Amino acid sequence: GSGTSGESAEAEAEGEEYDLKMSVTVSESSTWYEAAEKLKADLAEESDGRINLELFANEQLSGGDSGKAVEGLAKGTIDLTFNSTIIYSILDDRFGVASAPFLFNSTEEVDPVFNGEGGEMLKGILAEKGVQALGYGQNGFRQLTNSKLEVKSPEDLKGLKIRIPGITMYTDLYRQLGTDPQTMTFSEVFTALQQGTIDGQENPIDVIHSSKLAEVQDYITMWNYSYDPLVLGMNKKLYDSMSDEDKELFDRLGKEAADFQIEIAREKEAKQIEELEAAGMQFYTPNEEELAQFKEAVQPIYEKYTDVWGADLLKAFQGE
Amino acid sequence: MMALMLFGLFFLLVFLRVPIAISLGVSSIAVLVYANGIFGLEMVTDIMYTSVAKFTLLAIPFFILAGVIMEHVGISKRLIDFAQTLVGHRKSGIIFVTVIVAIFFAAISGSGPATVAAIGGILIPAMVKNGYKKETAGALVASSGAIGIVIPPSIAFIVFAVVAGDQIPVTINRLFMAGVIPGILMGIAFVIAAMIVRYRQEKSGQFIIPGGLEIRKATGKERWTAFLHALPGLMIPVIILGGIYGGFFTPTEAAVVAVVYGLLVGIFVNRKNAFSSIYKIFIEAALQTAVVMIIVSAASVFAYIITTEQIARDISDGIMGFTSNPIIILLLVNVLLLIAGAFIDAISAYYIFIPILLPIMLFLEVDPTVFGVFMTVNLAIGLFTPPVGLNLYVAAGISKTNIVEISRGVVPFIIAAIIVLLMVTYIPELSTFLPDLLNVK
Amino acid sequence: MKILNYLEEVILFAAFLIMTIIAFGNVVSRNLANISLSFTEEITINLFVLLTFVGTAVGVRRYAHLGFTLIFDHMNPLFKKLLVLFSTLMGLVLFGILLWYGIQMVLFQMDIGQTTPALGWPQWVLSSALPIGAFLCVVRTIQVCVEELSYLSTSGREGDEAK
Ligand code: NA
Ligand code: NA
Repeated sequence: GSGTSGESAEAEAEGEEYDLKMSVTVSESSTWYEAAEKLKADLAEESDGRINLELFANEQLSGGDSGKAVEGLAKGTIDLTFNSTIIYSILDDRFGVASAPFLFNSTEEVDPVFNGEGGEMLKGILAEKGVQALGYGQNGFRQLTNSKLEVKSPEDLKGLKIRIPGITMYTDLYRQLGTDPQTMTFSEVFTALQQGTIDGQENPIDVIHSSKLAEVQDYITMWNYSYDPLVLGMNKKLYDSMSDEDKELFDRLGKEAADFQIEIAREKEAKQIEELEAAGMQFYTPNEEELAQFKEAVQPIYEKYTDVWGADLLKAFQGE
Repeated sequence: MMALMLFGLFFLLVFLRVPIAISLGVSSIAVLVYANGIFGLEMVTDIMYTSVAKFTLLAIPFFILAGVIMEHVGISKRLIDFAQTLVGHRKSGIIFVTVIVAIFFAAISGSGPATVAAIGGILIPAMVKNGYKKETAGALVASSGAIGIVIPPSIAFIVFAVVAGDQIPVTINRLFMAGVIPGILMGIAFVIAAMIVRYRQEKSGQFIIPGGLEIRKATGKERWTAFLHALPGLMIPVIILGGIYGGFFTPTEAAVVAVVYGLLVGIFVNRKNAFSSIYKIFIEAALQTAVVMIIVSAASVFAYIITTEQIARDISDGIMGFTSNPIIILLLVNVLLLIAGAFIDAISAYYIFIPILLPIMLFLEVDPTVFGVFMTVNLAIGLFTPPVGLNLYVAAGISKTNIVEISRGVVPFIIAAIIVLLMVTYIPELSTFLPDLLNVK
Repeated sequence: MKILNYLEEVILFAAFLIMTIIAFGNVVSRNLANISLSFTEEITINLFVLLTFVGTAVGVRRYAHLGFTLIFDHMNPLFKKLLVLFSTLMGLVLFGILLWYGIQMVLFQMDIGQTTPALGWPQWVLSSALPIGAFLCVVRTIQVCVEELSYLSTSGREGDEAK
């Protein structure tokens, strides 16, 4: 990161030139990167080339480590990132609320929350941690794949070895569901699935598709069990040092870029589902009764985490 | 300009006897400060930390530890005795014994110098007793030891998968399987080279055929006994590879299972008093690990600059602007790596060159696994090319020759290995046949 | 220095032993008991960082780090001494930066209350491995410089430097 501003007073910040570094977790062919490219182009155009964004895919700026990227963003060694709130939970446990189990049934329920009070409250917590949220994108709903059986109810999950992200809430959740959760690093997942070291994993469709998991997984359960939002974040010190005009520019264009990411991600997901089906994956969408069983099974998670997330925040995310 | 500064400074420091890890770090720091001011320095710590704190790399300390344990519990001696009963009676039998044992030990150990250290202590004196010159004996062991990073398990392949993984997923399991045939080919090439050396030395009267060293053919019973003694050692590749490909372990887990198995063999089978030496074994393995990992750590900063300052792209574009003939490009890449391998170790070379070369390979539609294999064979050669070749140093120490003598002895083996390198580069099936056959992706 | 030697070795031994036990325990539990202890990998990889940087310090003391000595070996004693000083300086630049920014990193993590994802432990406790290792590297780099210079002064002539 090399914002040339730093200490300069706000008045002087007007007309300042910026050369900023932005880190994206995934590859250049992702919707995240496409949205970052849009932000870069829009900023360059509206500032007459005064604001330049350098983009880095695959979390190159932090040695491939997303946690370090978020730390770098808060610290100011990275100027902007696109990161999941799941990663942000290393800075504050409250970020976990957005991915609470069976919180949203569908994306229609998601958007009002992030555009409303829930999004605002999250923005406040991010600001406490030194991050200015410009907008929210999506990694999507996390779905379950496995090679053993069609999972329709909590009963089917018993004893399955499922790889999950190494986050306490997910470990608790999958224990609660009666599985045997594994937290191996994602780069080993394909091989482990292929050889039966583990039975299944959970991720958004985009990840399942781009990691070619259809080659090693037969069943997918579309249970929308955990929403995975992205934060288009900017180092707050950098943001605060900018002129009001530039702040407005970042607010507006950032929001546009994030909305654009959501739009293309959802279009892409529909196509990816078709391709996964064509590749022989068997999709199952639980009916309301089955979803009610899952929700019932994970109630203890809410009992345990309501205090961690904060009751008010949870309410805002439950749309109450 | 930035590229010239980075590489120029690095090689200058290396030539001035600054350790490679420090040279990598300091040249990177200089370029970072030049490009971004003092502010750029904060990245150095972050990158050096995250590049080590990677789960996939955990296999490295455990494979190193496993290698040190095998060396200490006497597994190599039993493997050698068994190989002796099989082929020891033949003319040039000791050559076969050396290479066969090297290949077996390669299937236990993940590193080149460790393989040399484990087998050289017995095999170099044995070769000398059989009439070979000290430098020939040392050179054969030094080069055979390099097979250690081509045949699985291999620290080199693990690092390759991690570094290349930034651009395209390459699984360690596929690389491991792909290395088997090229590794065996290297062994065959070394046997042929050693026989030619013997023939020429005999002809010029330099080969002193030892008197009274007629080794008789071992009986079936002797072979069986030797086999049983060697069995615990022979089981290790079965446990590691069978465990990985049978779906029981990830590579990291296989490494740690090998460690525990080695300790058990040491304690219960070979009756070595392993407990008293456990402390020493762990410290030695920790030291070897640190020497590798500090290079990984510092080289990551170097690689970070190569990628983020667009140096990789500039150089790749330059190479592809020079010619578009894939055969020539592959040849140039190999020559570049051979030269680099003469001076720097394989780990640094991966971090420095993969960001530059992988885009070219992907453009030429070279299978990344094949690239991984021929790059590793190439850098394995670097282990026994002067002036900087770890295997050469270890073997020179054991054979009591100096680096100049052993460098002369190693020339035929370098030629043999380069022939294999060219085969592996231009015949991708040598790498892909086994993994495809077993459907390892 | 004796105490420091001992301390370094004990750190290495303990770190490596714990890593091995945790990793093996994980294999056993996953294959036999069907429980995963994989959340412990956070501990393992940070012990690995500790092992690496403390091991690097031991490597400095034992002249174990890879390098190219051919040109150095053919120099006269004066140039050798200059090169030793130069190497030391370069080592201090790298390890010094690692130490300084390592401390900054730890302080920052303490300040914002960063925790590890799986265990929820304070990240700074685990990250301290880096500045601790870097500190030992700085000490050893200076120690070895003094050692080599005095060796070159007493032996003077050609021959292997301390190896
Ligand atoms: Na090997
Ligand atoms: Na070499």
